[in-house]
Amino acid sequence: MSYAWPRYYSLPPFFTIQPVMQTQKKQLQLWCDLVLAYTRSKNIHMIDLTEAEDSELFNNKKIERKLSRQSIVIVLEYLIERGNAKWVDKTKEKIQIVWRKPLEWANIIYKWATDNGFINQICTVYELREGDMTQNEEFFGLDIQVFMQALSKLEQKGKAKVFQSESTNESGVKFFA
Amino acid sequence: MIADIILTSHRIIFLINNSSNENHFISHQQIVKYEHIEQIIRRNYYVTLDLRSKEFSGTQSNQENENKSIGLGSWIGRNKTKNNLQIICSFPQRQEAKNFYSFLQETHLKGVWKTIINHNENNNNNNNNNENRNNQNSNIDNNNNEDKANHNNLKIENQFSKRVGIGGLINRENFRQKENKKIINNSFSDLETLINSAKQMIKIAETLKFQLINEKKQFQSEKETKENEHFVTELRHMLASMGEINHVTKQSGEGQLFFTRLAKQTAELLTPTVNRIGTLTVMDAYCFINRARGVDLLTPNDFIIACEQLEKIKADIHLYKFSSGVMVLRKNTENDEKIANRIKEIIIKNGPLTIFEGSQILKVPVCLAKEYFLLAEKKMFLCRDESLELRFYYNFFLYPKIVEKSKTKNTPIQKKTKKKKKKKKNLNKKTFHTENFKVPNDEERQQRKRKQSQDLDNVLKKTRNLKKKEKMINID
Repeated sequence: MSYAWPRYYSLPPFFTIQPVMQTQKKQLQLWCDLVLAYTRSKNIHMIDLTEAEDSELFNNKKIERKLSRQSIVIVLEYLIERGNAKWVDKTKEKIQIVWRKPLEWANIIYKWATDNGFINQICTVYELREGDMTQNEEFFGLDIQVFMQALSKLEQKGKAKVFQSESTNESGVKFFA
Repeated sequence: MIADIILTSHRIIFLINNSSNENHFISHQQIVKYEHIEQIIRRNYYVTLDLRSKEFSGTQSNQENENKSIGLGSWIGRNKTKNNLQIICSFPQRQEAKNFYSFLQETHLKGVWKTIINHNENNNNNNNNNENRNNQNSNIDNNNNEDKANHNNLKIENQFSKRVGIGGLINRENFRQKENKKIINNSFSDLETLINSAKQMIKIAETLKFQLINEKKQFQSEKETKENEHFVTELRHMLASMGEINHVTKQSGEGQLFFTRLAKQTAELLTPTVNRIGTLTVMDAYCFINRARGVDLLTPNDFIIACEQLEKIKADIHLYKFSSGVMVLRKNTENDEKIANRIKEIIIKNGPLTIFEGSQILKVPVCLAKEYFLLAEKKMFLCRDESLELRFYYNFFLYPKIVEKSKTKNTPIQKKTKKKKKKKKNLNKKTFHTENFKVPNDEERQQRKRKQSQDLDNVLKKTRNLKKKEKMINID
């Protein structure tokens, strides 16, 4: 299935970082929006820089234009400034895309819990992420790390608590009102 | 035998015994060839003289009353070959041999005999006696006559002898050089008169120039100024026709005034071209000005400083520096914004452009086109695409709407109409060139159709065969 690319994706200047500051800002904004939308639709959470150069997102084969490695780094660093990405290692080879902040995920999870009456009840993380009940939810199949971050945010707010079971390596969640 | 050699203007004399009166001599005309042997043989240096005759020409007793005589001392020997006699003069010192050889050469080539002949025009005997073995008594008179005869003979024979051999070649060359010198001298004398008359003209022009300068200082009242302006312009025209244009030079100007005057001159010269073209690069302007001047050319630095002063004079043109350093002369009415707008329109019309294409459309040098594009980019009308080549697009990041408008221009409906027009043109062409183009008859058309159908059948057969073969292979 081909992604529905926006209009500016097929114009070559989009693939060279503009020297003039204002156009550059606008260009980077557009790139960020594109990256977030693409990763969201494909449910991608990690981008590897070496693979990124060949990926569909940064490389448009129809017009034979692609973002160079340097310019990809520029785009990703802009994403980080915005708060939508983080470097996984210090080596800066992999980047974690956060097209929705953990807070937002936390709110969604909590909302689902309240809607379905799971308050003051315990669920396993597995159930929440890959269970039958949550198949239609947005956080179905969500990356574990992101999920755990979201849960930790809930913990901070005091609306849930995470605990590990000793017998199995499962972790469970209890929602509070 | 040991002898003193004396070279005179027309013979070589060998004084065998200083005390005795016997001298052998050879006249120069006898000498066919003379050589200077530069190697040392038996500790001596040699000059050989090849003579026509087999023997010495003669002997003479008295001292010579020649105008020029050179005394050289040495030793002589002789070689008798079949036909000729060769006399070998040997010298113990190298310099002596050289001197003898060089003096011999001089006398042979310079034709010193001529001067002597002019003095002694007495008796002319056509005595071609080269082989003289006269006695002493008759020698004096005979020798005198012989001398004169020899002079005459020498006169004739020198010409002959001049033309023979290497000496002849050298003589010819010298003769030619003399002729050339005469011609050149004559022509230059004419030129000198011309130059003198030209100098007078220059003086007149200079007096007029001074009058001009003085006129400027003198006029005071308004009426006089107008009259004087007419007079001044007339004078200037006259001077220009004579070639005395009053260039602004460092001699005439004083310090800063020099640059202001220069600026005025450049403004006068260049405003029409700048108004016509729009902008003129400083390089082109410098070329124009120096070509117009002809003499007293400007240095580039001086020119630039003068251009910077153009604003002070309130001329119609001014110097403008782009951010990259390119300098340009342009009208006062010209602006960065105007340029950027112009380029925006060009790109909307013609689509994305490289700098070279832009320069062709604008009809402007490439360096200027580059500056214009960068200006428009700074003003955020353009964005760039740098892959293999640099191309500029309309800035769809900031102005996305107008991009849609440009796309509507090339709708498919319009494209169809364009194609139809092309077909009509082709038909028109056919009517004009009927000789080359034949309208096919019915028969020809049928033939063509048959051929086409035949070709199709062949193709079909081939494909069927191929399919059969494939099937056979597959079955197997």
